Amino acid sequence: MTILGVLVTALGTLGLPQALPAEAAGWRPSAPAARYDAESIFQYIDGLGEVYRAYGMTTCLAGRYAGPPGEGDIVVDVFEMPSSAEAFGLFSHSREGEAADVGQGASFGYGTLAFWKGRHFVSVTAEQDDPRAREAVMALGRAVAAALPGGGEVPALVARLPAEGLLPRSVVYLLHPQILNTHVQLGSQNVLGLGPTAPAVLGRYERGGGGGVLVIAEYPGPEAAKAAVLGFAERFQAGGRGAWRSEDGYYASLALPGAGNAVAFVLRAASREMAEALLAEAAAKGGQP
Amino acid sequence: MSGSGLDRRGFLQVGAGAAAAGVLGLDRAEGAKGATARVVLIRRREVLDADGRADPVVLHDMLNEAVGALLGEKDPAAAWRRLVQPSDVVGIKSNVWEHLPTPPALEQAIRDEVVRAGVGARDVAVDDRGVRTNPVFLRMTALVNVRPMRTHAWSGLGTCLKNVIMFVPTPSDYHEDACAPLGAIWQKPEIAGKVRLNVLVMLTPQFHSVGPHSFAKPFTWPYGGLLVGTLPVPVDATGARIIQAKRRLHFGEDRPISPPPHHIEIAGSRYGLGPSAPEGIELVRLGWGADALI
Repeated sequence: MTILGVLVTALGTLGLPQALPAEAAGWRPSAPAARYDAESIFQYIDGLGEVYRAYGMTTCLAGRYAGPPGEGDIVVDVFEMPSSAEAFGLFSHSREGEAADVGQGASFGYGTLAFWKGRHFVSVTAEQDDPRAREAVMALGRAVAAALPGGGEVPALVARLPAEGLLPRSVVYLLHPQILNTHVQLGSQNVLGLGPTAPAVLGRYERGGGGGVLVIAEYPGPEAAKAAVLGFAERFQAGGRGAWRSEDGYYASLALPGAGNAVAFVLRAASREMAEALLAEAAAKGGQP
Repeated sequence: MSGSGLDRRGFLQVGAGAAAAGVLGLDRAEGAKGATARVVLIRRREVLDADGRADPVVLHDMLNEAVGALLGEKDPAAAWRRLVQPSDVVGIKSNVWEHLPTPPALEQAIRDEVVRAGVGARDVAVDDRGVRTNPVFLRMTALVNVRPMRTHAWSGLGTCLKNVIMFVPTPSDYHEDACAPLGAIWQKPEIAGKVRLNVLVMLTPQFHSVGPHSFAKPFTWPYGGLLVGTLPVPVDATGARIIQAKRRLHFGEDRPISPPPHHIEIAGSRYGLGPSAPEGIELVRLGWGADALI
């Protein structure tokens, strides 16, 4: 596949590109790209803007491309995030379809390419999904990726997840309780006390004995960590300390030694043994990747 | 409202038990025992063409048949005359979301029936984003609330309950906890007691969301239905069950609607906008029955 004709007129070395590609695979901009901030994003994608605000988006550069006759439009959205951690997080929350080789991590499915690079999250969506549009989506995505600065790092918290049985594409980095609730429903209360200063990583596990979910959260101080442990115990462990069996599996938690103010929470584990093993392995990793 | 015993201001407040059945003119002997809110599900296979476009004539017929069944009237015109009076000023709250808007043909059908019921043509308007400044909406005495059902990345579902969010100056004030407080909007003077009808469009509902624009056509399907009721919660709750069933069927496993659309249940329990549990809903099914998923 060629992307001849793709031209990025100007590049931002630190932030958003000043312009999106001028052409890719026969698709050309149908209007000047628009910029939105964390307030005006609602004008563009209505209440869905909350997802991007939950990761602290600062700016969105949005472009619409018209294709050859008979083809639908393609929409490119470049979100600038506070850091690569949030960019990775947004990608991890959003991935659907198959893995793709664009930026620092990508997925492609249902006409949408999503990827992250540096402190940017990018989505390229074909409004009419067909082979030609898919080719253009990939061409546009690669052109945008080429214009973005790299150097992003996956948040260190992700490396604290034990490796055995971890489903890699289940890993989600998050900073908002509702993002957690989207992936594992824990109820309205922010039981884990998550927020911009208390990020977490979630991973799903499949082992011989069944499945389970592990969440590792990092708190700004010992009091916040203690409050989360107590809140979780009250809500899911009948106020006790050991693994507690609920209707949908075992729940358990453990403040991780040598890991600052990090706490591991096991949700819906298939067995007590699995819950305890996940906690023990997370503790053994301590604060180290 | 003369002739029906319906107190307009109390229309939304009368969701319970025999009171609701009486006020809405429902013969309890015809309904499910103990039902507290009637919801009509009407489906027609022929309403959609191969590209998912709705036939205006069939759609209009569906609307009228559903409204007649909702109010227990054989003549749909009589049902509409119970919903609105000639003295009313009627806002039709639509939804213009580009990927799955309220079908213009359905907007037109509602407008036609409202005018046929005696409301002046200048006293009827259709709007979405402009409801706070639309002159007709500013003097509105009655509201018909109509929108398509879809999944939503922040509220779980885009519902009739959520469709009124454009009546408040800062919609994001109601985004907390997956839009849990949406029911509070229905208590505001702009719309409290004014909503006469909720129509949840289930022609090509969306059961899963992808990407910033939350839409991918493969996650819609030709259901060919409308859900109609006077109270928003039972209409939305019924739609939510259909979406959940479709997700189970499509993904081959229980994949709960995420985030959970708990604004529906909360609107019922906290704000009195109708029952959400199946046992509190009398579901009347009309038309095409195959693969109804409920």
